[in-house]
Amino acid sequence: MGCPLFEKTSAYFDGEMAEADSGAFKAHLDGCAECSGELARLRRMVNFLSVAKVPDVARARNVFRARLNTQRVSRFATVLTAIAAMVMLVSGISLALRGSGGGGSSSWQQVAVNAQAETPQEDPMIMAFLRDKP
Amino acid sequence: MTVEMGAPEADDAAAMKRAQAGDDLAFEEIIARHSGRLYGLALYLSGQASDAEDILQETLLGAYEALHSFESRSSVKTWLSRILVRQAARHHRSQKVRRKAQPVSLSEESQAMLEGSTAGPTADREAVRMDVMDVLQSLSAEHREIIVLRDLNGLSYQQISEVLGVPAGTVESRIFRARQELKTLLKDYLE
Repeated sequence: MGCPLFEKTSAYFDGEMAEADSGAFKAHLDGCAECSGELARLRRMVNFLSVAKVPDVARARNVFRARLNTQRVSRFATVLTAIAAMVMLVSGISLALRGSGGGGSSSWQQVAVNAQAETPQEDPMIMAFLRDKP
Repeated sequence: MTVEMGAPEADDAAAMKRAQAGDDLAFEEIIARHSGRLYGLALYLSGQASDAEDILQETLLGAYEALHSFESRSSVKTWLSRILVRQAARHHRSQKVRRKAQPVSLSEESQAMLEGSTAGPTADREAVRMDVMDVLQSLSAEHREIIVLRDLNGLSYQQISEVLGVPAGTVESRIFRARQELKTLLKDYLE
């Protein structure tokens, strides 16, 4: 880490540098192999991490609401039910998205994998819930 | 690539006002909108599905109980993330088992990505996801937390500052150090 601007590479990569500083840093990159090399490594590392992006179970929202409409009892009980249902639904969808191919495994690896499926509409569990929607 | 999810902040703000006025449907709307993202955050912070469920449940209960303390100084997304990060930290402390950093052995697909090759259409992305989980669990808790917030959850430095309750400058330096630790873990694959 010989370059005094080396630590700034991370903020530049994230687009978190002020515009004027960002322009100057971009010019600096042209002549600094250390910082430009670091930027390339950052791109590769973050690209690698992004494969495990946070799962999107937005479709669960409508399903969840439909279920709650049939479960309303009292104010706090409703909220507790809502929370429990949402937690079960989110984790359940994670498990079910890829079917039962995990051989019954409940390891976080399997859940993490299942949580990433991008076609929840094809999941029988979700389709069943959607059919119940009012 | 990072991902922003959920409805516009204006929808959250409107729902929060109704929730604070006693409209439980509005609270349900908020948690339904954010639960998926929060579950992912909990999963990556804890590394265990069962822990993630506990953390998410405690977070949602905590949010409900603290509804009236929300003052719109931050977004609902940031507010919920802050509660979850605190719950995850509490959960981590309660485990009293420090996970030891372990050498990470990566799949061929992950190695290719880190070497800069483009993953082909047949690449086993599931293997890469599992590798990412392994790598995250090898980071220190503080660095895992900030990497998850930034690189997997897509929060800005300002949002992370609000979630963690630290100055923006601290966020910047912590992200830098976290990425240096990450780079050390992955050094065999990055050169």
